[in-house]
Amino acid sequence: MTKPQAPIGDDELMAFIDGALSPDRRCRIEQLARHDDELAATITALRAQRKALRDSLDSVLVEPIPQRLLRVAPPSRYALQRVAAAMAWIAVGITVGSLASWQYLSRHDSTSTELALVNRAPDLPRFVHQATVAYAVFAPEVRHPVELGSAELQALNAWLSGRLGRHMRAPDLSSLGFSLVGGRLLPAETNKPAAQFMYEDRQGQRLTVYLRGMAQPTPETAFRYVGEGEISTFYWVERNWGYALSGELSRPQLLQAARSIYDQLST
Amino acid sequence: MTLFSHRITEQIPGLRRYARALTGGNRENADDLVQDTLERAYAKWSLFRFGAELRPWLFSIMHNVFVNDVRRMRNRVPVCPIDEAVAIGTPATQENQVQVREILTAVGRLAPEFREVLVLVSIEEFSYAETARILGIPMGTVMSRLFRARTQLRALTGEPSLSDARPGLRLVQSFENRPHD
Repeated sequence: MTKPQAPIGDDELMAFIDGALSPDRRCRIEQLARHDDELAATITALRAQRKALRDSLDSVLVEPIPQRLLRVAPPSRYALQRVAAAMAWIAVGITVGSLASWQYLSRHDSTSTELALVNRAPDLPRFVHQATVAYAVFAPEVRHPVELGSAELQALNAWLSGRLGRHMRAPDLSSLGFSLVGGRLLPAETNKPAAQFMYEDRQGQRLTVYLRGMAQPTPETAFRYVGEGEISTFYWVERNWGYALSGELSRPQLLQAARSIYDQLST
Repeated sequence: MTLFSHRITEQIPGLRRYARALTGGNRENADDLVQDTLERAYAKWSLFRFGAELRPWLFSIMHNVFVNDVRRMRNRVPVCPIDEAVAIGTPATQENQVQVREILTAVGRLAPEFREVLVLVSIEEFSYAETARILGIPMGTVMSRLFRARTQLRALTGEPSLSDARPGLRLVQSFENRPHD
């Protein structure tokens, strides 16, 4: 026989639903609910409502961010100074160029200014986009999925290490049932080319690992997940290197592979 | 500054989700809200204390933008048509999509200040204290609005109210004429 207990207040009920109660107060409500069908039904309904709310907008998190939001830029004096400096240099270039008839010099200058402007946009979203696009382009490729096949593994490792300017080896995913198909070099940022390794399981399901140096100092991140259509990507940044694993696998499968790659490629 | 804009960019998906809920699922209106928020954040970034948490700061800016929008619209807060694209990314069954529409439409019908509390707590999972700081209201008000929001939402989605013994639900129609707090 239990003592009659005070009824549950609205606030307490809310805190219970949101998991904000201390264990003993939570227990009290759970006990009460066992003997009170109406309370139990209310709790069930509120929990379902909370979950439905969350689920209803889950997909927004993995939608590609619209360009107009990425374009909102800081009104930076610093940026203006840099543009002004760049323009001054173009002027110098043109003057020198016309004086000495060095047409080439002025053209060369304006190209690097354009690149400098592109490079001011945040690199991480661009990195993830590039990785996903690289998967979308090469994973369905039948005849030339890679530039250098796994038969020439040593040459592949040496070549990509040289071009990316760091030592690396194609990660081994055989324990997960994926064998290396090969790899390729890809254009990405100025002076920051990217490497892509491709893997395949027995059913022909493909995964790609994409990595490059970040174009700007970028804070390190934990594993992050993004889905674009059918393609899922886990990505992370470590010591200014970006890594992305893309494929059309379930999230847990992909995560497992991402962990293995993380262990193997850490600098 | 680059670092700062990078950190802001990282917050965009979360801001878009909050905005989507506030606008009852309308993608265009939601992204307008996000864009205004980002512009304000960049304009005010010198006021941001480094080391403080960026996420609540951005959400409080969005709250201010949203409240201004609501005022400007003279309470013509639209019960907007839900964007088809709401369910992109999750291969949803039709039934599932209908549920998604229903619940977002219902959220869009709640009074704006109820909507904000409900979404910050239930979807964005801010604590009651954080929610109170973001909205600039006492924690007790957060709790009471939360209870009322959930009760109203149940009624709007066709569920019986929390208890028949409770006083009948009153749907709050306007931001200015809200009955308490």
